[in-house]
Formats: sequence, C-alpha cells, structure tokens
Amino acid sequence: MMVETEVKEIKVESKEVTFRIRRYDPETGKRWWAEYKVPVIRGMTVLDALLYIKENIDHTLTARYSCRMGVCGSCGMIINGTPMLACSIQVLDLGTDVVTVEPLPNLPTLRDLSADFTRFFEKHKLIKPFIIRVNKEEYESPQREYRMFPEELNAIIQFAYCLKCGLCYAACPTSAIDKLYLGPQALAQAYRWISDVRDEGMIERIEVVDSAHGCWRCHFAGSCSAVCPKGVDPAQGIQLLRALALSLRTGRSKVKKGSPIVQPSPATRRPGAVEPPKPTVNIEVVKENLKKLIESIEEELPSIASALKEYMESL
Amino acid sequence: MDERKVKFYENMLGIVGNIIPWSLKIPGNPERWAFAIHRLTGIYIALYFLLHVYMTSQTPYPKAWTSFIEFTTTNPLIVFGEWLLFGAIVFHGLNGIRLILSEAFALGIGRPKRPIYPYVMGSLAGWQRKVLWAIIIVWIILWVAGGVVLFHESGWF
Amino acid sequence: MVRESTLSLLQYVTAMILIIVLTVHVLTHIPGIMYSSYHESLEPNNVYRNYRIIGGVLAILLPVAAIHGLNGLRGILLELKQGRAWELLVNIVMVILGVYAIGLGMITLLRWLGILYWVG
Repeated sequence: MMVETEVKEIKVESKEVTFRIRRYDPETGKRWWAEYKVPVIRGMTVLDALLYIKENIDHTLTARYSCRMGVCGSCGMIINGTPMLACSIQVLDLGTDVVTVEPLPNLPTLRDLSADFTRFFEKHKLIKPFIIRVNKEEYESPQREYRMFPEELNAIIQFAYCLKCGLCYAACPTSAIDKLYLGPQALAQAYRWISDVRDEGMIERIEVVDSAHGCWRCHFAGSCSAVCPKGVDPAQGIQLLRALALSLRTGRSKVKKGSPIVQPSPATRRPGAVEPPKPTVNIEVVKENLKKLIESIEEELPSIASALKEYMESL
Repeated sequence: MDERKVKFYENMLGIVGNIIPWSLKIPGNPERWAFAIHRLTGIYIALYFLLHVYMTSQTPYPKAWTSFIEFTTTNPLIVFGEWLLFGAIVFHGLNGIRLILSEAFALGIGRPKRPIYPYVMGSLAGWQRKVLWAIIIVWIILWVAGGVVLFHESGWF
Repeated sequence: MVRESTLSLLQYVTAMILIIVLTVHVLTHIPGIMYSSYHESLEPNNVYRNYRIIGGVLAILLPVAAIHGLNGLRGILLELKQGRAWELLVNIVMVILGVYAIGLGMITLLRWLGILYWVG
C-alpha cells in the first residue's frame, strides 16, 4: 500500500567559487591555468569541488585521492599557496572567491595535480624503515616478541603517525633546490627507527643520514612542521637526529642495544574485572550437535569440518 | 600497445623557493624568515670578509691607510653598506646562538609526545620561538643605534 | 674525504668561538668603549694600538672566521647544484680561498705587529 507523504523542499544555499587549477598535459608538455566555476555549499571540501569539476565540467581533470578523510595522504596539493590535503579543508573556510590549486612542488608533476612520488619513496627506503637486529635468528623465524613498554611507544608514536603525504617535502626550502636532499620525511623516519627501543640499526642509519645531502643540509626553517597535517613535527625529529649524530661523533653517547626478546605474557584477568556469567547451555548437548554437524559436512567441506572439530575439542 | 611519449614536469621551486620566504604561504612559521635572513646575511658577511682581508693587506700604515679610510668613511654607498653589514653581523650572530642551542643541543624544541588533535608542533611551540622574538627585538634596537652612530659620524645628519 | 658531521661540528665550534672573538673585534670600533668615535678608532695610530692590545684575538679570529664563512658558502653551493664534478670544484675553490685569506691575513697581522715589513 502506498502512503502519500508531503516532502518539504529544503533550500541549500550555495556560493559560486572560481577554481583556478594548474593543468599539465604530459604528452604535449603544455602547462596552463584553467578556471572552473563551482557551486559550493557549506561543508564541501576542495576535494569535493575537484570531483564536481571532474564529473560535471571537465572529465580530463586529474587528481589523486583515496580515503577523503585525511588518513591516507594521497591528496596533497598547493591550495591558495599553502600545501594542504585537499580532503581536509573546506572551500568556504578558505574565505576567498578564487581558489588556486596547484600540484605539489619539488616532485615531478605527472599530470595536472598528481605528482610522481618515486623519488620521495626511494629516499624513504634509503633510511631502512624497518627493525634491524644484530642477531638475525628471532628476526627470520619469529617465535616470541621484542619487548616494548607503552611508555617506550610514546617516544616514537608521534613520528609513526606520518602519512607520507609529501607536504613537508614540498614545503622544505632545501628540497626546493637540492634534488638529492633526503627530505624532512625520510630524516624524521630515520630518527623514528633509530629511537625505537627494539631497533639496533643506529650505525647503519647514521651513515646514510650523515652524508653531504643528509641531515646537515637542514637549516631548521620549520616549514615542514608548520604544514604537517598529522602532528608528526619532522623538524623536531631532524634536530634530535642532528644532536644524536653530533653526540655520537664526539663520543658523548654510545650505540644502544635493542630491547630483549621476551615471551608474550599470558593473558591474566584484570583485578576487579567482572566474572563472565555461568553458561546456561548444556555443554554435552552442544558437543552432540556439533558432532552430528561435522559428520554431515565431512565429505563436502573437509576444511570447515576440521576447524569445527578443533573447536569441539576445546570446549 | 602503443608507447606514448610522456614528459614529467620537473616542478622544483628553485632558488626562489629556497630564499624567498613568501614563495609558499605557510602561516605560523617565522623560523623560515629567520633562515632566509640568516642565509643572506651569511653570504654578505662571507663576501665582505674576503674583501676586508684583501683591503687591509693592500693599505699599509700609515699613508695608504689614511687615504683608504678617508675614502670609505665618506663614500655614501660604502657607509650604507657598512650599516647593512653591522645589522647582518648582529642578526647572524644572535640567530646563530639560537641555532646552536636548537640544532646542536636539541634545546627549546620539545620532545616527542603522543599527538592529540588540534596538533601543536613541539619544535614550533618550544622556547626557541621566544628566543627568536627576543633576537629580532635586540637586533632592531642595535641596528638602529648603529645606524644613528654611523650616519651621524659620516655627517648625514 | 672528511665526514659531513665533522664539518658541521667544525661549523658549530667555530661559531661559538666567533661569537666571542668577533664581538671583541667589533667592540674595539664602537664609540665609548676604547675610543670616543668610530672614525677615531679607524685612525692609523689607534689601529696600531688595537693590533698591539688584541693581536692574539685577531690571530684567532682570522682562521676561525675563514673556516666558518667558507664552510657555510660550501654548504650553500652544494645545495644549489649536485654532482661529483661540482662537489670537487666547490671543495677545491673553498680550500684555495681559505689558504689565500688566512695566509694574506696572517701576513697583514704580522706586518702591523712589526714582525714583517711593509712592501711599498
């Protein structure tokens, strides 16, 4: 039965904002400014506007995006002169009638607003972003775990929030002229891995970082920290790294040993935790029913039958 | 499969991006200005130093020295350049102290902590920024005082 | 080749030394400290007196300033352009300029102190 309802018309106020976008065609090598008029409503992000342009005005506009909520780091671009994530800024918050969007600088532009991150990722790989241990036995066939207390995690979690969005690399003045400079992201991550308690690769990473285009080409302009969308503070990481490199060079500090390998502690009930309620089901009846089910599906679905058998034995 | 020739555009900001602080609009970042001025004053002082060593070697005491000093203290371009040099040395030295503290000893930049939104960057919120403001105030005062002394002695007012 | 952290350590150490010795050098020319005006501090007799009094400070100032300045210029030039040939060129030019500046400056210092004679 159809019910007739009256739908009230909701008027949404929209403002027309002009988007000036730096276009680039890799096949012809042409670069030009393209202008698009977008009706912007409250809450619309720059990424929403770019997708509106792509869907309704110009299908050839190219931009990278993925999560649309500021956790993947794909949509880094220069918006009104500031490096930001396109999904994390609302158009009306910018406050201008003309919004200028350009691709990230210091990295090659592939097309329109997408930059090629190969150079960026190669530099990240150079600083060995993984745990390095001298004794490779546990490393290669892990049986237990490297001990890390929650307080020790606090020393690295700030740098672990890095999205590899490339905004810091775009903002850095040294990256603007030096193509070989490791960049704030790689250097901050080098510090993250060196200061990880489980890691024993300090010497290897210091050798990479203590080079002609390593941490010594940073001059603490702080732009990387000013544009970081995740609070990583790469400038702090690099200065700490330099102080560490200097103190190693002058012999004031020594190479540390990694945290010991420990057996994960067995789960114990937290004192004062509420006890689970007593089972109201007769466990024997459950086992009977499970046995019947296993016998019936043994031929057709042997893997599921064996898993159910294991479960039955654990009861 | 046809091989299309594609050219990436090397989008480096270049020297303009390095030395001009307003090439990117980044709010809340006075350290970028301090870096640019530190670099420009450093170049100026280094070039002056080489000139200074050469000039003092070519002007033996007493006659050539006297005529050299007469020239440099009366030529308005040189007097102005000396005033700029004085400001350059004061800023470069004071900012250098701040850089030694924050870069070599990692002081005034905070320590890593768990980031909680809205993010506050430890290195930009630490006391190194207060030191930067103090440096700028002392620099302006000393530079203006140096200008008053220099221009008064050169007879400009 | 020297490790980069050694050069940076040198930069910081020379910076700390320079703050002291350069301040002394500039203070001798500021009116009210040794002489009553800037132009008076530039008179040949007073310059001679300066060399006699703080000659040691000037002898420290010269190599330290040369190293700090040329090291800094080297850093800037290496950032502007990359490549083995350019790096070698910059290193050689800086060393030559350093030797030239320190050598010439030392000769001037010794002449003002009367240990060497003026030529011409």
